[in-house]
Amino acid sequence: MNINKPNKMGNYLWQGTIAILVAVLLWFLWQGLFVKQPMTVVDSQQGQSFPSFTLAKVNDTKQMVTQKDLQGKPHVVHIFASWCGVCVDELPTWVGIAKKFSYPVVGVAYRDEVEPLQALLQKKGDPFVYVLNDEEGKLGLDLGLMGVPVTYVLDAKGNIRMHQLGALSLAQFEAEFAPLLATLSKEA
Amino acid sequence: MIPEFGLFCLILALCFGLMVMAGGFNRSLAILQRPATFGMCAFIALGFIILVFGFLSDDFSVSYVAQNSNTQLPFMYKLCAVWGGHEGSLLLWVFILSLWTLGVTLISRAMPENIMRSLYAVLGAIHVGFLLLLLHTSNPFLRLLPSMPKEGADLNPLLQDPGFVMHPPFLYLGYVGFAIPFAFAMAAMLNPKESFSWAKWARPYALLAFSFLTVGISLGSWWAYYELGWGGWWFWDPVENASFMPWLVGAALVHALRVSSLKPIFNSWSLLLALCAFILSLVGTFLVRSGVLASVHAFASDPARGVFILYFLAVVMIGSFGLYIVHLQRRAAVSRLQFVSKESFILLGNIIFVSATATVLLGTLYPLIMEVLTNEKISVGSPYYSAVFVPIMMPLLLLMSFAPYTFWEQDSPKALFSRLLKPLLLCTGIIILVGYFAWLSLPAVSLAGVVLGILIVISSLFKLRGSLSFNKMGMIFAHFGLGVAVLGISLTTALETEKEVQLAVGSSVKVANYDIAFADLNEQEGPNYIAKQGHFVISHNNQPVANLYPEKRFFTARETMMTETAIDPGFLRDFYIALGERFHDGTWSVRIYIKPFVRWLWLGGIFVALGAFIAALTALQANYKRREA
Repeated sequence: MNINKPNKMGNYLWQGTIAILVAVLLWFLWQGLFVKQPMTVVDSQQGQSFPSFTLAKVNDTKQMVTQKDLQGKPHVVHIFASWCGVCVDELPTWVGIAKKFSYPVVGVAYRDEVEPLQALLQKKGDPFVYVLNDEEGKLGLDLGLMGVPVTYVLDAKGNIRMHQLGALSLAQFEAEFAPLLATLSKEA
Repeated sequence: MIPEFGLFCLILALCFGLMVMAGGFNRSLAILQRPATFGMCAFIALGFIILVFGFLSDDFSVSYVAQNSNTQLPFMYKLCAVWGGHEGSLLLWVFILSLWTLGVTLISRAMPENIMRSLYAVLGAIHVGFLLLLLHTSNPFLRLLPSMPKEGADLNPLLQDPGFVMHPPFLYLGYVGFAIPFAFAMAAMLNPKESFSWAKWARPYALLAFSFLTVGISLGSWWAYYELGWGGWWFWDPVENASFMPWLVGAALVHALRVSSLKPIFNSWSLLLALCAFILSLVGTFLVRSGVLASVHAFASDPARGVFILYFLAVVMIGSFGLYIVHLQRRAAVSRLQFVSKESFILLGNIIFVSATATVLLGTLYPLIMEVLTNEKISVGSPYYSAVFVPIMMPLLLLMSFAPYTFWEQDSPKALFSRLLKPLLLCTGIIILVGYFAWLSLPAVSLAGVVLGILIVISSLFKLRGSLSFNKMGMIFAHFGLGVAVLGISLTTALETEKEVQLAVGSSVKVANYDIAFADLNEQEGPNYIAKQGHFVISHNNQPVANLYPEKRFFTARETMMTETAIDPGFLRDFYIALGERFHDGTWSVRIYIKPFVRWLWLGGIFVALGAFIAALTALQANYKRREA
């Protein structure tokens, strides 16, 4: 650095760097705002196999369930929690789905506790064939969960065929999930 | 009618804010700026008071009150439920901004007219931006008419805690406080012809904001420690990082301003830091409030808010950095720094602070960047930070222990060494002693942390010799505090014991030389919850050391279960017990932690905040004297 004349080149470098950094940061923030806006079907996990897990049932801590138990016919896996307001509001929808369709829906309680969970299912109805207790969030971690509720459709081989973030409506289930499950049942 | 008046107050404040802004563009309107600022602050305060009143009077016709309060809620928590949700936190943000603005308006008056005009205009513009956000996307006074609920949904039980009463206000006082140095920096850059030592004016506010932010972060960490029941005090969560980044830059800023207020050498650098500190606060607000980095707890965030905050952020960033680029164009010649001098060490420390901030920013935004680029969801957690952030901070700690001994401008390594000799000898003695006992029981990183912590504590304490000014006292307090915190962090991470066991009433377990017995289980009833309370007796060599009463609370209004941990705090160690769930055979899962030296962490935080506060008051007083003269 020269005392007498300011370093022109250095100035330009500084100015350019700052402008680029600001632009890049803003661009990513802007993109980030929209990348997750379509909360519905995210395709990144489609076709991949469901991660392996060994979890106990909430109602029967001695009975362990693994990913192999989900093979043989298509399953719906619904990840939720009693501390999650959206999930609690969504639960009646699942009770309705269970009444109308016979596809097995497996619940997974994500980082939840047994007592409030059982109280919730008792109060609002239990639409699940069984609920698995992912208390430590291990399965959630393997799935790369960003939040709950999340719903997966698995084919008979245990591959993920559909992946939905956020709450679901009965109409949406009938329009998107039911046809897929019907084809998957035929395949199996 | 009253909530509508609250909304009207906010609209009026917006109008006043626009007037304050207009004064920056038009000289003839400048005379209105001061009264309009008072008007703006008064109406924001009134709006805030009306929302508080809504909570205290259980006005569930207001949607926000209905979502966050309940008739059963204790008075204290009704008060802090005001900032329990999004809309109220934003209103608190604006309210605190108006408090700072009022403070500057009342205290710092003897400035050149043009500077004053720009300063008001910048502060007015920030108010306008946030008031627009509040009115456009998050009106806290929205009504639920005609069908108003009889009972509110209650405040989130996690937030029903004394820690939460104080944590957000302090955090926001810190966050928002950086708006003041930002405004001074902008004013200085907008008026390049005025000879105005903005650093002198901005320094006390930067110190105050830094002090409050330190308190806010410490309180938050303490709250997470005893409320969440995981025994941790820092999780590198995006929300925490959002407050930590302004803190790091703020630390760099207060040091840079110390130099810039004496001489103009790294004025440009201080300007940049002042801009960054506030902009990182805004980025933090954006990350937290838009839900871009959704944490597990929030899915239902409104995209419109995010878009609006981002617009605002873009305007602020492009405006301020654009101005900075223009400023660089005309900056004066850079003078040479001699390597061994206080200035150059402060600059070096600053560079480390900024690099550390960049790593935290990268870690926080990494999931977002990966998702934009590859559509994959990846997140980085504490392994990343302990691998990257910790090694970056270590040289800083070393620098901190000897930089205070250097002279301004010119110094020689030899003279510096002779000044350092005595504290260094004492340090070596203590470190050898510690090493003798703990060499094998501590992992390398923690050992390095302990050594650096001791260096900082001793070297700060040695500065107490000789003449003492308040300013110097502030420095000693803050550095000493950081040393204590570093010791706490290193020791507690290395030595903590954690055990999860299944216990029945009447049985006991041995954890690291202590016998922990589950003595009893009772039913308890609180104002808005029912609880099961365990009684644990901790004994050492058959001598009882502590009794702990952890609880499992069921909040009736929200039907949620909460774990209330029990902690026996101690200067040298904490016992920490959390009740897990009950098994069918009547046994309980119990989480037991023994955490040595964990208190030192927050103790250090208090010292840092106190030191910055003392320095802030001294700087304010100096400014005041200058005005008198």
